[in-house]
Amino acid sequence: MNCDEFQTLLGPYLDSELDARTTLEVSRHRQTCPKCARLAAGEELLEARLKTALARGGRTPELWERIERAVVTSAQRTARTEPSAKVSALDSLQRSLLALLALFRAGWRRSPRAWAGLATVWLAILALRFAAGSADAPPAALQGAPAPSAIRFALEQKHILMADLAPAPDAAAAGKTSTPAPSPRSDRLGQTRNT
Amino acid sequence: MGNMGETPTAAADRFLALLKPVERDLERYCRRLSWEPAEAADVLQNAVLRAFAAFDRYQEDASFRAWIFKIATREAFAMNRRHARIARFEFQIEPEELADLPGPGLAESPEPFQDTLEPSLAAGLRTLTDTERAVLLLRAIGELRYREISETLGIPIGSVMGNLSRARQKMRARLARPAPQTELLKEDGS
Repeated sequence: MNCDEFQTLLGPYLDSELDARTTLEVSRHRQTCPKCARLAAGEELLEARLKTALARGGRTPELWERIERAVVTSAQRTARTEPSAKVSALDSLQRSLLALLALFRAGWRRSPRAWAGLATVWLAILALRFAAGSADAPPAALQGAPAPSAIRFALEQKHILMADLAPAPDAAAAGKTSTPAPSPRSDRLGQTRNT
Repeated sequence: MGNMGETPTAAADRFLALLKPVERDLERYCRRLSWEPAEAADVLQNAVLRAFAAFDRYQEDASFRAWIFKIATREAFAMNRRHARIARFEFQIEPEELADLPGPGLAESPEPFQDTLEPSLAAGLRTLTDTERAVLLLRAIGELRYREISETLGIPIGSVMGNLSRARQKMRARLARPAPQTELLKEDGS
């Protein structure tokens, strides 16, 4: 290391900002070069006296008491105006349920038959879903309800219909060959229906 | 403010606990960085309250010291800009004139806020640009690393080193001049 490099690195060296290897090189040069050693000593003295001079003047107790009171007051003001997140979530849920109940009561008074019909439809849908899911259910329990195989067939037909209606993929952009047009529905119907 | 689920009062307690170890250095920093010594108390108070308002954004694994010094720096620069100061000071304020200057915050704070800095050092600091002064003070008082100073001021680390080097050269030149009177620093650096 030469003197120019030492002088360039002196500031970061004294601030302990250099990596270990560079710090060692700088230290070695300082030990071997009297001129650079004097320069380093002068910079260390300047820094020490600057720190001492700037460190004068302590903490002003009255000022900090005022500041801390302002922080506490700000926090208390916030606590009064903003309820806790948990309380406000429960509160909004409660309000939503009450609003739903009021809506149901109003509708029931206006037209009991309409609401009864709506409830029946929902029950039927629930029953269908239950029936579709329970493969081990005895045949007696499913009397009057569609067979699971019929439901599966209906779902497959739905998928085929959706596939027909889906737009053809852009083969040019994807760099693939265009997919063949789907076969007529009647062919697929014969292939998939198994009862 | 504060962590999720933490009450504002608990957040205030946690904030004040983190603030306690840096209060002295923060006060000295605001005092040295402000162009108007009379406004340093306002700068300090505004900085602390602004930090508390933003406490929910403070990451616990980060350095609280660096974080609050950054907020204080912005507050001091904003106050300095408000007085339309340029990098080189336009006129010198004699120490006895300081008491006659109106201060917006001092009317509320009866405690004295005297500048105890050596006159030659105070004069030397006034010759620095805002950035040079901030870098010097963040290093000397804030004891921040170069990387932290870079993040605080939003300048590259190379600029931090350059500004610090220039600030030290100017301070050395300033302190070397009145050496016989102040005995602070002689020409040969001793």
